[in-house]
Amino acid sequence: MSHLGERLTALVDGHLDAAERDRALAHVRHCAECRADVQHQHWVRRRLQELPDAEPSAALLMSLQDVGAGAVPVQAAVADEQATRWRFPTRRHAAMAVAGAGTVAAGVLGLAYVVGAAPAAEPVRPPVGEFSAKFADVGDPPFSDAAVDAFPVLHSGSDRNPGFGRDSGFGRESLVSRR
Amino acid sequence: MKRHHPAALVLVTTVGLLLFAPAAASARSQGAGDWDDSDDTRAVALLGRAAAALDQVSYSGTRIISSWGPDSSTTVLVDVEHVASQGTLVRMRGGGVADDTAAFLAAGEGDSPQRPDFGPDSLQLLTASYDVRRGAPSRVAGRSAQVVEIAQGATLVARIWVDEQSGLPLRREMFDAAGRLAIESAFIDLRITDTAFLAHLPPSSPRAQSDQVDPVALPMLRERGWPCPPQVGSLRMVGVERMESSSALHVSYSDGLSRVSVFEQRGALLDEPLAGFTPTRLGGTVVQLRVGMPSYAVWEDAGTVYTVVTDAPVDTVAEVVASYPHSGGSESGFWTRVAGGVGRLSAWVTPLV
Repeated sequence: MSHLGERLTALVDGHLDAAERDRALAHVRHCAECRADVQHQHWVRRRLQELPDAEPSAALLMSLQDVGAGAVPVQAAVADEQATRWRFPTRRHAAMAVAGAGTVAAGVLGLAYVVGAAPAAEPVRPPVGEFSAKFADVGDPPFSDAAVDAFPVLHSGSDRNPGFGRDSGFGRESLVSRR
Repeated sequence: MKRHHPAALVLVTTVGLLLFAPAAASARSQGAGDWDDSDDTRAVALLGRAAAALDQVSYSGTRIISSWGPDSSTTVLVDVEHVASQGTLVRMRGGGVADDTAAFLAAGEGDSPQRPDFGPDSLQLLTASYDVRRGAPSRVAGRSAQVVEIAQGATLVARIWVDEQSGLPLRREMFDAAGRLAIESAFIDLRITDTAFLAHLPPSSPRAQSDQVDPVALPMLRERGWPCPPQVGSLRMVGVERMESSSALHVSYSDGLSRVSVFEQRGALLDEPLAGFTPTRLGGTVVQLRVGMPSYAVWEDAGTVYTVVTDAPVDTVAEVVASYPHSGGSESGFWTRVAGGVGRLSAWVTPLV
Protein backbone atom coordinates (compact mmCIF):
# COMPACT_ATOMS: atom_id res chain seq x y z
CA MET A 1 0.00 0.00 0.00
CA SER A 2 1.20 3.38 -0.82
CA HIS A 3 1.60 6.09 1.82
CA LEU A 4 -1.40 8.14 2.90
CA GLY A 5 -0.35 11.30 1.10
CA GLU A 6 -3.17 13.86 0.97
CA ARG A 7 -5.47 11.53 2.97
CA LEU A 8 -3.20 12.00 5.98
CA THR A 9 -4.42 15.58 6.65
CA ALA A 10 -8.04 14.44 6.18
CA LEU A 11 -7.42 11.67 8.69
CA VAL A 12 -6.07 14.10 11.28
CA ASP A 13 -8.92 16.52 10.70
CA GLY A 14 -11.53 13.70 10.93
CA HIS A 15 -12.83 14.23 7.42
CA LEU A 16 -12.61 10.58 6.24
CA ASP A 17 -15.60 8.35 6.21
CA ALA A 18 -15.56 5.23 8.36
CA ALA A 19 -14.27 2.81 5.77
CA GLU A 20 -11.55 5.18 4.64
CA ARG A 21 -10.62 5.91 8.24
CA ASP A 22 -10.24 2.16 9.03
CA ARG A 23 -8.05 1.51 6.03
CA ALA A 24 -5.91 4.61 6.84
CA LEU A 25 -5.44 3.58 10.43
CA ALA A 26 -4.53 0.05 9.38
CA HIS A 27 -1.77 1.55 7.21
CA VAL A 28 -0.50 3.85 9.95
CA ARG A 29 -0.08 0.90 12.24
CA HIS A 30 2.23 -0.79 9.83
CA CYS A 31 3.91 2.27 8.24
CA ALA A 32 6.32 4.06 10.54
CA GLU A 33 6.77 6.98 8.12
CA CYS A 34 3.06 7.78 7.86
CA ARG A 35 2.68 7.26 11.60
CA ALA A 36 5.40 9.88 12.21
CA ASP A 37 3.64 12.34 9.88
CA VAL A 38 0.34 11.85 11.62
CA GLN A 39 1.98 12.49 14.95
CA HIS A 40 3.64 15.64 13.66
CA GLN A 41 0.42 17.08 12.33
CA HIS A 42 -1.36 16.43 15.59
CA TRP A 43 1.43 18.24 17.43
CA VAL A 44 1.16 21.36 15.12
CA ARG A 45 -2.58 21.44 15.51
CA ARG A 46 -2.33 21.38 19.28
CA ARG A 47 0.22 24.18 19.29
CA LEU A 48 -2.02 26.41 17.16
CA GLN A 49 -4.98 25.71 19.44
CA GLU A 50 -2.88 26.72 22.40
CA LEU A 51 -2.08 30.25 20.94
CA PRO A 52 -4.11 33.20 22.42
CA ASP A 53 -6.60 35.16 20.17
CA ALA A 54 -4.81 38.12 18.46
CA GLU A 55 -6.47 41.61 18.65
CA PRO A 56 -5.72 44.20 15.89
CA SER A 57 -4.04 47.40 17.06
CA ALA A 58 -5.92 50.72 17.06
CA ALA A 59 -3.50 52.21 14.53
CA LEU A 60 -4.06 49.34 12.15
CA LEU A 61 -7.82 49.68 12.48
CA MET A 62 -7.63 53.46 11.78
CA SER A 63 -5.44 52.92 8.75
CA LEU A 64 -7.87 50.41 7.38
CA GLN A 65 -10.78 52.81 7.95
CA ASP A 66 -8.92 55.58 6.05
CA VAL A 67 -8.37 53.26 3.14
CA GLY A 68 -12.07 52.43 3.11
CA ALA A 69 -13.15 56.08 3.25
CA GLY A 70 -10.87 57.02 0.32
CA ALA A 71 -11.87 54.17 -1.83
CA VAL A 72 -13.59 55.04 -5.15
CA PRO A 73 -15.27 52.91 -7.74
CA VAL A 74 -12.87 51.19 -10.07
CA GLN A 75 -14.12 52.89 -13.27
CA ALA A 76 -13.87 56.31 -11.69
CA ALA A 77 -10.40 55.54 -10.50
CA VAL A 78 -9.31 54.43 -13.98
CA ALA A 79 -10.83 57.50 -15.64
CA ASP A 80 -9.16 59.73 -13.13
CA GLU A 81 -5.85 58.09 -13.75
CA GLN A 82 -6.20 58.45 -17.49
CA ALA A 83 -7.10 62.11 -17.11
CA THR A 84 -4.12 62.65 -14.91
CA ARG A 85 -1.88 60.94 -17.40
CA TRP A 86 -3.32 63.14 -20.22
CA ARG A 87 -2.78 66.45 -18.51
CA PHE A 88 0.49 66.06 -16.80
CA PRO A 89 2.58 64.53 -19.58
CA THR A 90 1.20 67.08 -22.15
CA ARG A 91 2.37 70.08 -20.20
CA ARG A 92 5.68 68.53 -19.64
CA HIS A 93 6.11 67.48 -23.24
CA ALA A 94 5.04 70.92 -24.46
CA ALA A 95 7.57 72.56 -22.24
CA MET A 96 10.21 70.16 -23.43
CA ALA A 97 9.24 70.76 -27.05
CA VAL A 98 9.38 74.54 -26.62
CA ALA A 99 12.70 74.31 -24.88
CA GLY A 100 14.04 71.99 -27.55
CA ALA A 101 12.83 74.15 -30.41
CA GLY A 102 14.27 77.21 -28.74
CA THR A 103 17.59 75.51 -28.30
CA VAL A 104 17.67 74.39 -31.91
CA ALA A 105 16.64 77.85 -33.15
CA ALA A 106 19.24 79.51 -31.00
CA GLY A 107 21.81 77.07 -32.28
CA VAL A 108 20.91 77.73 -35.90
CA LEU A 109 20.90 81.50 -35.34
CA GLY A 110 24.20 81.32 -33.58
CA LEU A 111 25.70 79.20 -36.32
CA ALA A 112 24.33 81.51 -39.02
CA TYR A 113 25.65 84.53 -37.14
CA VAL A 114 29.09 83.01 -36.85
CA VAL A 115 29.12 81.83 -40.46
CA GLY A 116 27.65 85.13 -41.63
CA ALA A 117 30.54 87.11 -40.25
CA ALA A 118 32.24 89.26 -42.81
CA PRO A 119 34.49 86.79 -44.60
CA ALA A 120 38.16 87.34 -44.70
CA ALA A 121 37.70 88.09 -48.36
CA GLU A 122 40.37 89.55 -50.49
CA PRO A 123 40.13 93.29 -50.98
CA VAL A 124 38.39 94.18 -54.20
CA ARG A 125 38.73 97.22 -56.38
CA PRO A 126 35.89 97.10 -58.90
CA PRO A 127 37.26 97.13 -62.45
CA VAL A 128 35.12 100.09 -63.33
CA GLY A 129 36.61 100.37 -66.80
CA GLU A 130 35.73 96.80 -67.64
CA PHE A 131 32.27 97.23 -66.19
CA SER A 132 31.77 100.42 -68.17
CA ALA A 133 32.75 98.69 -71.37
CA LYS A 134 30.34 95.87 -70.61
CA PHE A 135 27.62 98.41 -69.92
CA ALA A 136 28.21 99.95 -73.33
CA ASP A 137 28.51 96.55 -74.94
CA VAL A 138 25.19 95.21 -73.74
CA GLY A 139 23.26 97.52 -76.03
CA ASP A 140 20.78 100.17 -75.24
CA PRO A 141 17.17 101.14 -75.44
CA PRO A 142 16.48 102.71 -78.81
CA PHE A 143 16.14 106.19 -77.38
CA SER A 144 19.42 106.57 -75.62
CA ASP A 145 22.21 107.49 -77.96
CA ALA A 146 25.49 106.14 -79.09
CA ALA A 147 27.34 109.14 -77.76
CA VAL A 148 26.26 108.40 -74.22
CA ASP A 149 27.13 104.75 -74.72
CA ALA A 150 30.60 105.70 -75.74
CA PHE A 151 31.27 107.62 -72.57
CA PRO A 152 32.16 104.67 -70.35
CA VAL A 153 34.75 103.48 -72.82
CA LEU A 154 36.16 106.94 -73.15
CA HIS A 155 36.22 107.39 -69.40
CA SER A 156 38.07 104.13 -69.04
CA GLY A 157 40.84 105.41 -71.22
CA SER A 158 41.04 108.89 -69.79
CA ASP A 159 44.00 109.93 -67.73
CA ARG A 160 41.81 112.59 -66.17
CA ASN A 161 39.65 109.89 -64.62
CA PRO A 162 42.14 107.66 -62.82
CA GLY A 163 39.36 105.76 -61.13
CA PHE A 164 38.38 104.47 -64.50
CA GLY A 165 41.66 104.03 -66.22
CA ARG A 166 43.62 102.21 -63.54
CA ASP A 167 42.01 98.83 -63.88
CA SER A 168 40.31 98.95 -67.17
CA GLY A 169 42.95 97.67 -69.48
CA PHE A 170 41.40 99.66 -72.27
CA GLY A 171 43.33 102.14 -74.31
CA ARG A 172 42.58 105.72 -75.05
CA GLU A 173 40.87 104.74 -78.25
CA SER A 174 38.66 101.74 -78.15
CA LEU A 175 36.65 99.67 -80.52
CA VAL A 176 33.51 98.41 -78.90
CA SER A 177 31.13 96.18 -80.74
CA ARG A 178 27.48 96.50 -80.03
CA ARG A 179 25.48 93.33 -79.96
CA MET B 1 37.32 115.07 -88.25
CA LYS B 2 37.61 118.79 -87.76
CA ARG B 3 39.00 120.26 -84.54
CA HIS B 4 37.17 122.85 -82.47
CA HIS B 5 38.90 125.77 -80.85
CA PRO B 6 38.63 125.57 -77.01
CA ALA B 7 37.15 129.05 -76.77
CA ALA B 8 34.56 128.18 -79.35
CA LEU B 9 33.80 124.99 -77.48
CA VAL B 10 33.17 126.86 -74.24
CA LEU B 11 31.01 129.36 -76.07
CA VAL B 12 28.93 126.65 -77.72
CA THR B 13 28.53 124.80 -74.44
CA THR B 14 27.45 127.90 -72.59
CA VAL B 15 25.05 128.96 -75.31
CA GLY B 16 23.64 125.46 -75.46
CA LEU B 17 22.99 125.36 -71.74
CA LEU B 18 21.44 128.80 -71.77
CA LEU B 19 19.18 127.79 -74.62
CA PHE B 20 18.23 124.31 -73.49
CA ALA B 21 17.73 124.56 -69.76
CA PRO B 22 15.08 127.31 -69.63
CA ALA B 23 13.32 125.83 -72.63
CA ALA B 24 13.29 122.43 -70.97
CA ALA B 25 11.94 123.78 -67.72
CA SER B 26 9.29 125.75 -69.53
CA ALA B 27 8.29 122.86 -71.76
CA ARG B 28 8.14 120.53 -68.83
CA SER B 29 5.75 122.76 -66.95
CA GLN B 30 3.50 122.78 -69.99
CA GLY B 31 3.62 119.04 -70.57
CA ALA B 32 3.21 117.68 -67.08
CA GLY B 33 -0.56 117.77 -67.12
CA ASP B 34 -3.04 114.96 -66.78
CA TRP B 35 -2.18 111.80 -68.66
CA ASP B 36 -4.46 109.37 -70.39
CA ASP B 37 -4.30 105.81 -69.19
CA SER B 38 -3.81 104.57 -72.73
CA ASP B 39 -0.75 105.40 -74.78
CA ASP B 40 -1.06 107.70 -77.76
CA THR B 41 -0.72 105.28 -80.67
CA ARG B 42 0.80 107.94 -82.91
CA ALA B 43 3.35 108.75 -80.22
CA VAL B 44 4.25 105.08 -79.97
CA ALA B 45 4.57 104.94 -83.75
CA LEU B 46 6.94 107.91 -83.61
CA LEU B 47 9.12 106.10 -81.12
CA GLY B 48 9.12 103.01 -83.32
CA ARG B 49 10.19 105.15 -86.28
CA ALA B 50 12.97 106.73 -84.21
CA ALA B 51 14.27 103.33 -83.13
CA ALA B 52 14.36 102.13 -86.71
CA ALA B 53 15.99 105.34 -87.98
CA LEU B 54 18.94 104.89 -85.60
CA ASP B 55 19.80 101.74 -87.49
CA GLN B 56 18.78 102.77 -90.99
CA VAL B 57 19.84 106.40 -91.42
CA SER B 58 23.42 107.57 -91.86
CA TYR B 59 24.29 110.96 -90.47
CA SER B 60 27.00 113.15 -89.00
CA GLY B 61 26.75 116.00 -86.56
CA THR B 62 27.58 117.38 -83.15
CA ARG B 63 25.73 116.70 -79.94
CA ILE B 64 25.83 118.50 -76.65
CA ILE B 65 25.27 116.19 -73.70
CA SER B 66 24.78 117.36 -70.14
CA SER B 67 23.97 115.68 -66.86
CA TRP B 68 23.13 117.18 -63.50
CA GLY B 69 23.66 115.47 -60.15
CA PRO B 70 23.05 116.58 -56.57
CA ASP B 71 26.38 118.37 -56.33
CA SER B 72 27.86 118.45 -59.80
CA SER B 73 27.15 118.66 -63.48
CA THR B 74 28.92 117.56 -66.62
CA THR B 75 28.72 118.83 -70.18
CA VAL B 76 30.53 117.52 -73.21
CA LEU B 77 30.42 118.00 -76.94
CA VAL B 78 30.48 114.95 -79.13
CA ASP B 79 31.11 114.73 -82.84
CA VAL B 80 29.13 111.80 -84.18
CA GLU B 81 29.53 110.06 -87.49
CA HIS B 82 27.12 107.22 -88.06
CA VAL B 83 26.97 104.78 -90.96
CA ALA B 84 23.88 102.67 -90.74
CA SER B 85 25.42 99.41 -91.85
CA GLN B 86 28.73 99.85 -90.05
CA GLY B 87 28.41 101.67 -86.75
CA THR B 88 29.00 104.95 -84.97
CA LEU B 89 32.25 106.85 -84.51
CA VAL B 90 32.15 109.31 -81.63
CA ARG B 91 34.81 111.82 -80.72
CA MET B 92 34.40 113.61 -77.46
CA ARG B 93 35.63 116.77 -75.76
CA GLY B 94 34.97 118.11 -72.30
CA GLY B 95 33.62 116.42 -69.18
CA GLY B 96 37.06 115.42 -67.96
CA VAL B 97 37.70 113.41 -71.09
CA ALA B 98 40.86 113.97 -73.04
CA ASP B 99 40.29 115.95 -76.23
CA ASP B 100 39.69 113.89 -79.34
CA THR B 101 39.19 110.74 -77.33
CA ALA B 102 37.35 108.47 -79.72
CA ALA B 103 35.30 105.32 -79.70
CA PHE B 104 33.66 103.25 -82.35
CA LEU B 105 30.44 101.42 -81.65
CA ALA B 106 29.98 98.73 -84.25
CA ALA B 107 26.46 98.05 -85.45
CA GLY B 108 25.24 94.69 -84.26
CA GLU B 109 23.24 92.19 -86.18
CA GLY B 110 20.35 92.35 -83.74
CA ASP B 111 18.62 95.51 -82.70
CA SER B 112 17.35 94.42 -79.34
CA PRO B 113 19.79 94.23 -76.46
CA GLN B 114 17.43 92.06 -74.45
CA ARG B 115 17.83 88.36 -74.14
CA PRO B 116 14.71 86.78 -75.57
CA ASP B 117 14.36 84.66 -72.46
CA PHE B 118 13.97 87.68 -70.24
CA GLY B 119 11.03 89.51 -71.76
CA PRO B 120 9.74 92.03 -74.23
CA ASP B 121 11.83 94.38 -76.32
CA SER B 122 12.65 97.94 -75.39
CA LEU B 123 9.64 99.63 -76.95
CA GLN B 124 7.31 97.15 -75.29
CA LEU B 125 9.11 97.72 -72.00
CA LEU B 126 8.78 101.46 -72.40
CA THR B 127 5.06 101.44 -73.18
CA ALA B 128 4.47 98.92 -70.40
CA SER B 129 6.33 101.06 -67.87
CA TYR B 130 5.21 104.53 -68.90
CA ASP B 131 2.45 106.55 -70.50
CA VAL B 132 3.38 107.89 -73.92
CA ARG B 133 1.80 110.84 -75.70
CA ARG B 134 2.65 113.51 -78.23
CA GLY B 135 3.69 116.98 -77.24
CA ALA B 136 3.69 120.23 -79.15
CA PRO B 137 5.88 120.16 -82.31
CA SER B 138 9.16 122.03 -82.01
CA ARG B 139 12.48 122.61 -83.77
CA VAL B 140 15.94 121.26 -82.95
CA ALA B 141 19.12 122.27 -84.78
CA GLY B 142 17.03 124.04 -87.39
CA ARG B 143 14.96 120.93 -88.12
CA SER B 144 11.25 120.36 -87.55
CA ALA B 145 10.55 117.77 -84.90
CA GLN B 146 7.62 115.90 -83.37
CA VAL B 147 7.77 115.65 -79.60
CA VAL B 148 6.96 112.53 -77.59
CA GLU B 149 6.43 112.92 -73.85
CA ILE B 150 6.93 109.94 -71.56
CA ALA B 151 5.38 110.04 -68.11
CA GLN B 152 4.57 107.96 -65.09
CA GLY B 153 1.21 109.07 -63.83
CA ALA B 154 1.32 112.85 -63.65
CA THR B 155 5.11 112.93 -63.50
CA LEU B 156 7.01 113.69 -66.67
CA VAL B 157 9.93 111.29 -67.01
CA ALA B 158 11.41 112.07 -70.41
CA ARG B 159 10.84 113.91 -73.64
CA ILE B 160 12.12 112.96 -77.08
CA TRP B 161 12.23 115.12 -80.20
CA VAL B 162 11.91 113.07 -83.42
CA ASP B 163 13.09 114.53 -86.73
CA GLU B 164 10.15 114.84 -89.10
CA GLN B 165 12.34 114.22 -92.15
CA SER B 166 14.56 111.33 -91.09
CA GLY B 167 12.90 109.97 -87.96
CA LEU B 168 16.13 110.34 -85.98
CA PRO B 169 15.80 111.32 -82.32
CA LEU B 170 17.23 114.83 -82.24
CA ARG B 171 17.01 115.60 -78.58
CA ARG B 172 16.28 113.79 -75.37
CA GLU B 173 15.58 115.08 -71.88
CA MET B 174 15.27 112.99 -68.75
CA PHE B 175 13.93 114.27 -65.46
CA ASP B 176 14.51 113.11 -61.92
CA ALA B 177 11.76 112.29 -59.44
CA ALA B 178 11.60 115.92 -58.31
CA GLY B 179 10.98 117.05 -61.88
CA ARG B 180 14.42 118.55 -62.38
CA LEU B 181 16.21 118.11 -65.67
CA ALA B 182 18.79 115.37 -65.04
CA ILE B 183 20.17 114.39 -68.44
CA GLU B 184 19.98 116.12 -71.77
CA SER B 185 21.35 115.10 -75.13
CA ALA B 186 20.69 117.16 -78.27
CA PHE B 187 22.07 117.74 -81.71
CA ILE B 188 23.26 121.26 -82.30
CA ASP B 189 24.22 120.34 -85.82
CA LEU B 190 23.00 117.43 -87.97
CA ARG B 191 23.53 116.36 -91.56
CA ILE B 192 21.86 113.36 -93.13
CA THR B 193 24.48 111.60 -95.26
CA ASP B 194 24.80 108.74 -97.68
CA THR B 195 28.18 107.61 -96.41
CA ALA B 196 28.67 103.91 -97.00
CA PHE B 197 31.90 103.29 -95.16
CA LEU B 198 33.87 104.77 -92.27
CA ALA B 199 37.62 104.76 -92.59
CA HIS B 200 40.37 105.32 -90.01
CA LEU B 201 38.56 103.65 -87.16
CA PRO B 202 40.14 103.45 -83.70
CA PRO B 203 42.17 100.29 -83.14
CA SER B 204 40.52 97.22 -81.83
CA SER B 205 40.60 96.57 -78.10
CA PRO B 206 39.63 93.52 -76.05
CA ARG B 207 36.02 92.97 -75.16
CA ALA B 208 34.94 91.81 -71.74
CA GLN B 209 34.07 88.15 -72.21
CA SER B 210 31.11 86.71 -70.39
CA ASP B 211 28.82 83.70 -70.20
CA GLN B 212 25.06 84.04 -70.27
CA VAL B 213 23.15 82.76 -67.26
CA ASP B 214 19.97 80.85 -67.97
CA PRO B 215 16.95 82.38 -66.21
CA VAL B 216 16.06 79.02 -64.69
CA ALA B 217 19.31 79.22 -62.69
CA LEU B 218 18.33 82.49 -61.00
CA PRO B 219 16.64 80.95 -57.93
CA MET B 220 19.76 78.89 -57.29
CA LEU B 221 21.95 81.96 -57.61
CA ARG B 222 19.80 83.83 -55.13
CA GLU B 223 20.01 80.97 -52.65
CA ARG B 224 23.78 81.15 -52.91
CA GLY B 225 23.93 84.79 -52.02
CA TRP B 226 23.87 86.37 -55.47
CA PRO B 227 20.88 88.68 -55.27
CA CYS B 228 19.24 89.26 -58.64
CA PRO B 229 16.02 91.19 -58.01
CA PRO B 230 13.72 90.75 -61.02
CA GLN B 231 12.87 94.44 -60.90
CA VAL B 232 14.46 97.60 -59.52
CA GLY B 233 12.12 100.56 -59.48
CA SER B 234 10.48 100.64 -62.88
CA LEU B 235 13.27 98.69 -64.58
CA ARG B 236 12.97 95.00 -65.30
CA MET B 237 15.74 92.44 -65.47
CA VAL B 238 16.69 91.84 -69.08
CA GLY B 239 19.82 89.74 -68.77
CA VAL B 240 22.28 88.01 -66.44
CA GLU B 241 25.80 86.95 -67.30
CA ARG B 242 29.01 85.91 -65.59
CA MET B 243 32.08 87.98 -66.40
CA GLU B 244 35.07 85.80 -67.16
CA SER B 245 37.90 88.06 -66.05
CA SER B 246 36.51 89.38 -62.77
CA SER B 247 34.08 86.53 -62.00
CA ALA B 248 31.49 89.22 -61.38
CA LEU B 249 27.83 88.56 -61.94
CA HIS B 250 26.39 91.15 -64.30
CA VAL B 251 22.65 91.80 -64.00
CA SER B 252 21.08 94.10 -66.60
CA TYR B 253 17.86 96.09 -66.22
CA SER B 254 15.88 98.26 -68.59
CA ASP B 255 12.58 100.06 -68.81
CA GLY B 256 12.98 100.87 -72.47
CA LEU B 257 14.20 104.34 -71.60
CA SER B 258 17.19 103.74 -69.33
CA ARG B 259 19.57 100.93 -68.58
CA VAL B 260 21.10 99.72 -65.33
CA SER B 261 23.95 97.28 -64.98
CA VAL B 262 24.67 95.81 -61.55
CA PHE B 263 27.95 93.95 -61.07
CA GLU B 264 28.28 91.68 -58.04
CA GLN B 265 31.72 90.56 -56.85
CA ARG B 266 32.76 88.49 -53.85
CA GLY B 267 35.21 90.37 -51.66
CA ALA B 268 35.72 93.36 -49.43
CA LEU B 269 35.76 96.85 -50.87
CA LEU B 270 39.12 98.52 -50.51
CA ASP B 271 39.21 101.14 -47.80
CA GLU B 272 40.84 103.72 -49.99
CA PRO B 273 38.32 105.86 -51.87
CA LEU B 274 37.84 105.41 -55.60
CA ALA B 275 39.19 108.30 -57.59
CA GLY B 276 36.42 110.54 -58.82
CA PHE B 277 33.86 109.04 -56.43
CA THR B 278 32.26 110.73 -53.44
CA PRO B 279 30.85 108.98 -50.36
CA THR B 280 27.14 109.73 -50.50
CA ARG B 281 24.15 108.48 -48.54
CA LEU B 282 21.87 106.90 -51.11
CA GLY B 283 19.15 104.26 -51.01
CA GLY B 284 19.54 103.70 -47.28
CA THR B 285 23.30 103.32 -47.08
CA VAL B 286 26.55 105.08 -47.88
CA VAL B 287 27.87 104.42 -51.37
CA GLN B 288 30.77 105.66 -53.44
CA LEU B 289 28.96 107.77 -56.04
CA ARG B 290 30.00 109.33 -59.28
CA VAL B 291 27.33 111.21 -61.19
CA GLY B 292 27.84 111.57 -64.92
CA MET B 293 27.18 109.80 -68.16
CA PRO B 294 26.81 107.14 -67.07
CA SER B 295 26.57 107.36 -63.28
CA TYR B 296 28.26 104.90 -60.92
CA ALA B 297 27.64 103.70 -57.38
CA VAL B 298 29.82 101.23 -55.46
CA TRP B 299 29.20 99.72 -52.04
CA GLU B 300 29.84 96.53 -50.08
CA ASP B 301 27.49 94.39 -48.08
CA ALA B 302 28.26 91.10 -46.32
CA GLY B 303 31.30 90.23 -48.37
CA THR B 304 29.89 91.23 -51.74
CA VAL B 305 30.87 94.38 -53.63
CA TYR B 306 28.17 95.92 -55.80
CA THR B 307 28.87 98.29 -58.69
CA VAL B 308 26.00 100.03 -60.45
CA VAL B 309 26.43 101.60 -63.88
CA THR B 310 23.47 103.44 -65.37
CA ASP B 311 22.47 106.14 -67.80
CA ALA B 312 19.43 106.95 -65.65
CA PRO B 313 19.13 109.83 -63.16
CA VAL B 314 20.49 109.47 -59.63
CA ASP B 315 17.01 108.64 -58.32
CA THR B 316 17.21 105.39 -60.20
CA VAL B 317 20.60 104.66 -58.68
CA ALA B 318 19.01 105.10 -55.26
CA GLU B 319 16.26 102.65 -56.19
CA VAL B 320 18.83 100.11 -57.29
CA VAL B 321 20.81 100.44 -54.07
CA ALA B 322 17.62 100.09 -52.03
CA SER B 323 16.65 96.96 -53.98
CA TYR B 324 19.98 95.26 -53.35
CA PRO B 325 21.43 94.21 -49.98
CA HIS B 326 22.76 97.13 -48.03
CA SER B 327 23.56 97.31 -44.36
CA GLY B 328 22.41 100.85 -43.78
CA GLY B 329 25.79 101.77 -42.38
CA SER B 330 29.36 100.69 -42.17
CA GLU B 331 28.59 97.81 -39.79
CA SER B 332 26.39 94.91 -40.80
CA GLY B 333 23.29 94.45 -38.69
CA PHE B 334 22.56 91.30 -36.74
CA TRP B 335 19.88 90.02 -39.07
CA THR B 336 21.87 90.96 -42.14
CA ARG B 337 24.73 88.92 -40.83
CA VAL B 338 22.42 86.03 -39.95
CA ALA B 339 20.85 86.19 -43.40
CA GLY B 340 24.27 86.10 -44.96
CA GLY B 341 25.16 83.12 -42.80
CA VAL B 342 22.00 81.27 -43.79
CA GLY B 343 22.82 81.91 -47.43
CA ARG B 344 26.34 80.67 -46.92
CA LEU B 345 25.16 77.55 -45.09
CA SER B 346 22.72 76.87 -47.92
CA ALA B 347 25.54 77.23 -50.39
CA TRP B 348 27.61 74.74 -48.43
CA VAL B 349 24.78 72.26 -48.25
CA THR B 350 23.93 72.59 -51.93
CA PRO B 351 26.66 71.42 -54.26
CA LEU B 352 28.07 74.14 -56.44
CA VAL B 353 27.31 74.18 -60.10
